Amino acid sequence: MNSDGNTISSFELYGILFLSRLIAFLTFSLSLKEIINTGDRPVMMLIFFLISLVMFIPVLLVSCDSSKTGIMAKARSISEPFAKILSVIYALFFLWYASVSEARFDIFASTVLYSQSDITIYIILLTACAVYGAYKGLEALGRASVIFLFFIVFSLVFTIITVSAKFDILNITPPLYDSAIPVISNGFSSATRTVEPLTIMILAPYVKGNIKKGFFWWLFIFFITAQTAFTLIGGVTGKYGDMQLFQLYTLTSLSGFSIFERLDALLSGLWVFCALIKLAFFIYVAVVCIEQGFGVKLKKVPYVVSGVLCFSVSKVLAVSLNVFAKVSSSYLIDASTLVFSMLLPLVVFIIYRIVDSKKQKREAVTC
Amino acid sequence: MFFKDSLNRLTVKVEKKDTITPLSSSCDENVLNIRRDFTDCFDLIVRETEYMGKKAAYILLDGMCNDLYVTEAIITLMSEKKPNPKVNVFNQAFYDTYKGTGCTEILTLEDSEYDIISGNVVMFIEGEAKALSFSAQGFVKKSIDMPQTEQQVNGSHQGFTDSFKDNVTLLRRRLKTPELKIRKLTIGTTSSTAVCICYLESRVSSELLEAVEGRLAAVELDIVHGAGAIQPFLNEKSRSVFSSTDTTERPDILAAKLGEGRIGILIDGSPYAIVIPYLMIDHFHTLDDYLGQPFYATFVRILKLVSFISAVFLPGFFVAVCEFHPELLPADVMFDISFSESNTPFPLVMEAFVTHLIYEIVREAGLQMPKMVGHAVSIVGGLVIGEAAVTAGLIAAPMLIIVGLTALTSAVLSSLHEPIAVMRFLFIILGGLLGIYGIILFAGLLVINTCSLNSYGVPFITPFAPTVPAAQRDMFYRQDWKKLGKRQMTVKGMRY
Repeated sequence: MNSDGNTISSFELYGILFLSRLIAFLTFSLSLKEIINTGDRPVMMLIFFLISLVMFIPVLLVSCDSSKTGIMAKARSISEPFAKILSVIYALFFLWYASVSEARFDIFASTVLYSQSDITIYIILLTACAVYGAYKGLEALGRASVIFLFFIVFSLVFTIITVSAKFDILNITPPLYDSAIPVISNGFSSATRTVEPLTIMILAPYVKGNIKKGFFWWLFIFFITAQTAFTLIGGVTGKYGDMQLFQLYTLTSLSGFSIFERLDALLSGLWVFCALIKLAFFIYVAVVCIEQGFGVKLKKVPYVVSGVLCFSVSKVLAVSLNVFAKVSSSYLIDASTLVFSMLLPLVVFIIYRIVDSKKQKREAVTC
Repeated sequence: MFFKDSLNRLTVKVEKKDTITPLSSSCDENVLNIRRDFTDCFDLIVRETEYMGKKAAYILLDGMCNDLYVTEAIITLMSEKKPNPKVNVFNQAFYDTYKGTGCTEILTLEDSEYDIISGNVVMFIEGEAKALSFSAQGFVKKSIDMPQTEQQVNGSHQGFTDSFKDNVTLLRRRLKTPELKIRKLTIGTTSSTAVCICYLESRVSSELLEAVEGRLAAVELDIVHGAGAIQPFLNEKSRSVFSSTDTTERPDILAAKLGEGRIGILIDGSPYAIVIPYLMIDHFHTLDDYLGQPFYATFVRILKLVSFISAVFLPGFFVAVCEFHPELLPADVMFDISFSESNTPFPLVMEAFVTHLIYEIVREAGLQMPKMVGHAVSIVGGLVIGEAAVTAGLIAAPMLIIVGLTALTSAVLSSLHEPIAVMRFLFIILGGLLGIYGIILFAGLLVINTCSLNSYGVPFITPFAPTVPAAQRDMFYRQDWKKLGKRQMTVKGMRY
């Protein structure tokens, strides 16, 4: 147990990461990118799965070596100023990602949940709740994610069961029918916009259990969930689904049970849990980054400042779909994720190993 | 400044009296001190006599001792003794009375007074700077009766009483092992209330015991009115509607909790024992679950969970669905509800709020009134006002059904009534303002708040989260006793 008592199991950590990834997936709009056929989406997810497996090897290297100290502690053992700069860069990156997610949810909520009213108050409340959640710490978020997971899995399974009767294989176009390039491009960018595993580098010291094994299962379960959802979207909605902004929401609006014909408000309402936990988690990770990099313990104010920052940036991004599409789909974002998930961890890990081995040699000579 | 002056004028500062006055070797001086401290206490009885040729005095409070016992066992026995210079008078007195009753030696005036108030007979002997205290309590107390708040079908029909000594006996009868430790201490500057910490030595964690003892030692109270007065000092410091301790009126439940490595606190004058730590899942478990069939226990626990969710969210959800998401309802139901609601003058959220407020008033009135009148209040509140309000078109019938359902479901979990009642109003307002998404958002906040709670190092919502797979055998699903009885689960293992 770490000094704060903020320890969670790997199951809880991956529970948070699963919910976090899921909300991005649930509110993901293919219309913001190059449109691909329904039959291409499972192939796209397979590419995503394979790229993610390779892409996050440096993250796991940094997080799961024998010291299990995380990237900031390693950076501090290299040089304190370097750790401080690195922590600020990572904190800003996580806050940026949280803002993008909040903006995406803002667009989803203003389009679907509250299509006839101003959403600002709701987003303010969401941010306030997330700041509170982040302040309550990792334990609270980890435990809450287990409960939220129960409801989300229920909503997804319910949707899958109730719409499966409307599934028609003829709605799905053959894979790679038009061209393979957009499929590969989409698969690649899906992987590069998956930022969640980067948090493992920061939170590894607070996690009990097998992180590597958990990562594989997390990725695999998400892959299966997404595959199932995409196959259902294709088989149930066909070309109609392609015209929709939020395909998964369209799927829930088609789900019904007995005399209850429209349960979309309830099912998609449960997705709010995902948005809440994601925002709270990334605010928490950003603050922890600073704490680890500067070796200090922060109180309430940084959480509030992070929340205000996220809200402000998200409001700018969510001003229109075009702005959001341009910013969130830019190749700069893809490149930055690659730098943060592959390049930086690798550089830190290699330098740390060199410094560490030199230190050990020096100690051996002294002895 | 004004507030401080007003506070000083209205209140008395509670300070612990730490003075210790050693007893004098003069019997007269000791009696004089006691008489001085008990001035204007008509029930103080001082009988000055001789014992083995030495001056002696018995002091007791009228009504606190068993008269027959005092006369026969103590006074008669001791008044027959003749002087014997070879024998130590104090030791002889101790020996003579020890055969018949519990007898202790006292060295201070404060202890003498405490024992007199507790119903003991205190004896001073000339030349001895100590006193004898005979256990001769015989005050009026309630007999052992059925628990009033935790009625069970299959469990024992004995509940705790107001006398903590009887409560200790009830507990001892269920845990016949020397491992059951019962430590006594006194709380309350003026009331000097006896409080017992009970635990099973091999089951309880030392950290938990230390923490409880530390918090009890820090209690600053003038008068201990009951378990509820001590509970806030034992609760964890957190802003939550849930409490990390709870009470039980049943000795069998306390015995079971001690078996799980928890600590029980018995308070003199209170029929409730405090249980520490207390987890969320405990609210869903009753003794009947363990004494009936496992499948039925599982069914009842799920029923309780559904009732809890309904009691908190149903009115708010109803308001949200009617105001924001009518498409969730089947068409026929939606038309019926909208027809009923269209005939009432108030907005739905106000109607729900006021109706539930009236329900809470009726409930509180029923509790405060004498039992017979209480029933009448319920009938007037429930039937007369409800029926009249619907007929007059002030409240729609569907709303009354929702109130009735909510009242029923909240009665299933009586130990959670306080948080349920408050949260229900919050969710009615949220449902009216933000719809289902508002309710879900704040439900998420409530979950995070509850998940952040720890009860003495044990996560409040364990074994659900953090998930303890081995504990799932007795969470919502309950295993058969043949399997469950093999290994006793303790909260020690759930500490994070």
